[in-house]
Amino acid sequence: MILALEIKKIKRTGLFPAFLAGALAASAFPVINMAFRTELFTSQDLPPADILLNGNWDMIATFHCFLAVLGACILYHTEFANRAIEKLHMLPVSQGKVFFCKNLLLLLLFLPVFLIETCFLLFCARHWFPGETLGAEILLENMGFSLAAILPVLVLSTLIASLAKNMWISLGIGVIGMFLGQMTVSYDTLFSRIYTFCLPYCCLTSSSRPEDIFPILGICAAETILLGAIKLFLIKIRRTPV
Amino acid sequence: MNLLTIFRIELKKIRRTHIFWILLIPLILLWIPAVLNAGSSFGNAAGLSPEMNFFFQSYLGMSWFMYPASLVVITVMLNQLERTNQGILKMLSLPVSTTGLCLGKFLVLLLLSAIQMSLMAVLYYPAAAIASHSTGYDFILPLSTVLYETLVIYFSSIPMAAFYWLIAVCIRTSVFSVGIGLATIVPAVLLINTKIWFAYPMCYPFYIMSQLLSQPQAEVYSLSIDLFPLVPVAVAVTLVCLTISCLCFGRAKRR
Amino acid sequence: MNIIETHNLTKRYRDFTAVNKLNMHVQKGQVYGFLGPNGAGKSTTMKMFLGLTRPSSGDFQIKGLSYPKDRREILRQTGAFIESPSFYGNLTGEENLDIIRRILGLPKDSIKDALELTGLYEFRKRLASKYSLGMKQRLGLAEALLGRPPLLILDEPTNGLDPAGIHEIRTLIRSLPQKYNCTVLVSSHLLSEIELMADDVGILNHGRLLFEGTLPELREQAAQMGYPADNLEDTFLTMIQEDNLKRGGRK
Repeated sequence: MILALEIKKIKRTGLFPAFLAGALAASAFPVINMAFRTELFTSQDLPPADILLNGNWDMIATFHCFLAVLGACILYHTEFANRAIEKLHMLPVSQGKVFFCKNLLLLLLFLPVFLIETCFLLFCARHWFPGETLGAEILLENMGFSLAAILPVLVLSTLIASLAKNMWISLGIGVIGMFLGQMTVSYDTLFSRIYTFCLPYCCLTSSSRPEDIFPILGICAAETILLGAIKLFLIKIRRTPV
Repeated sequence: MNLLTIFRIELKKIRRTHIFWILLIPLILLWIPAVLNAGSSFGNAAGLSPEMNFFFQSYLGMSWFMYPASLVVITVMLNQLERTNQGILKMLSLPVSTTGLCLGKFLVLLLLSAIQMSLMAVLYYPAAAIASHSTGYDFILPLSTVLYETLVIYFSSIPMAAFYWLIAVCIRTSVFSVGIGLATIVPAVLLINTKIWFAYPMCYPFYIMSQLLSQPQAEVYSLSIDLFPLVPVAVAVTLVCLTISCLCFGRAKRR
Repeated sequence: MNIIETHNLTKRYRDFTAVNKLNMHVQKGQVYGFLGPNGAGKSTTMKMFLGLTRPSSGDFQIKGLSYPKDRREILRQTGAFIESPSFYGNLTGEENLDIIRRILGLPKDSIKDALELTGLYEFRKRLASKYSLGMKQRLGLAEALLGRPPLLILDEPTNGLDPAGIHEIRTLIRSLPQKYNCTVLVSSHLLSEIELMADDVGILNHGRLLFEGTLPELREQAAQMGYPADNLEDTFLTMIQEDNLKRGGRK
């Protein structure tokens, strides 16, 4: 029921069109990249799906982080803007439930985003690599994998957004967090492997082995649970409701 | 009422907004990994000296992502301040021109970004000193170089600031203004490799930084960029953005 | 002498007429009570006076100045409080007033004056976001009173105040014309309230002016039309109801 209410709340906030636009912008990236730098990509001796993912996933992941931070900010901004959240606290509804429904909603919004991107990647594979195997199953697997990898990012950004009343503060912290991820993702350190905003940059190609993938999924699951627990803990201890 | 008075009033409005910390924290986060990874500055294919490499790594990150994103956050703040408790309604019912208010706010945006850039330069010195200490190599560049690069980024970013201000003023749904603001940062990385980079204001600082990086170190002050299409286009973009934003400012409240 | 005069002032939003051919006259040095149920067009009219919304047709003069030509000058002569109090939550009450003081180019002691008039002086160092509803309302009033402008436009200024506060603000508004020779246009949806502070009354319903005149005139007219005249609140309600019936009949 709460999920249905949350969906109602995003009416006219522009969240849905924003996600659609984000998906299209992220999808346009590989197409433009292929169109302008065809030589560079077609000359590689790898399955098309791998080439496309290696060449574009960083940018697409940046878009995903943007969308996650933005979505979370908006979801809580509508609550704070006219003090709707204070009313919510007076109603017999669990705050934890509201928080998780907001996350679920964001995850649901990401589903079409990933679908659109996968379609565009498939189009690129068909158009620029004729005659080669498309690697649709790899792209689909990657989609499932990215859904798992975006989950901790969603929970973290929603957590930040729910703590700051002013949108510029939650947005600022979100952008800083993203930036830190973007900057450190290329380093080979423990930090860049477990930092939440680095996780969406991982992608699944045909050369990935299960022993690479499962630890990442484990980290995602652990962080999601940990961040969710932090939120529940904060709800319990904060005097002013969060 | 002159612009300076309005500017001072606008400055008063941003008291206790914590924006300073939002501007400072990313800079600290930017320099910490740079210091920790100072060793990697030695291995460099482009023939750049380690100290220049150290310096540019962080400045590039700043100019391509953090600085534009900070501008977006500041514009959000400036607008939210007015809207949260209808402060704008009071402003519009006072004898002050909307153009003045709009430009005053833009000046605040410029001032805050100037503060961020100067903090960036100021923080470079302790970062370089620590890196020098830990690696035993002198990373500190002369003040003139640091100042020069900082000023170049700052001035080349003014059209971009005007563009973001336009978006923040004209697109009242905050999700769209922020979304468009953040989304326009990303394509810069593609566009700086094309011939039409000067048509896209978000490219300017990043493009100029990457040009400085690729030219010989001895000629650090002679920027080998054609000023012809750039300067007129940049000036035009700035003026057009500011004009439109002044025309749009406060209009939704005055239907 | 009329300080505000409107001539067929009309405001239309697409398919809805908020203010319909309004002809009102506010006399200098009087408290003019602007009365009407919620959504009658009181706020829209006041917003037009301040240039916050553009009239669709008709025009108005304030102190002989006309909109949009003399908008700046009108605003300089007017202190306004529209809808809900507008302020910056991150600033203290005093700082909020200081911003307005600088824009109006007033001396520093005008802040203290406005704070004392509204009883906010002891809370001047508190953040406006931490103010109670009544204090925010007073801050809005202080913003309007700052510099003692010759014309005050107050939109439901007693909303959200406690009985003591309502009484205090009413007394303040009542005393303003004598105190510093200003004119007050104050709106309300309670006739009982207007009765206590106003010299003249204008009754607005669905954008049309049903009555304009002094309170004794209102009583007289009510008696003539056969409305209950002993209780003005009933008069007002009957008037509105009759008008609504007429409008309904026309449709």
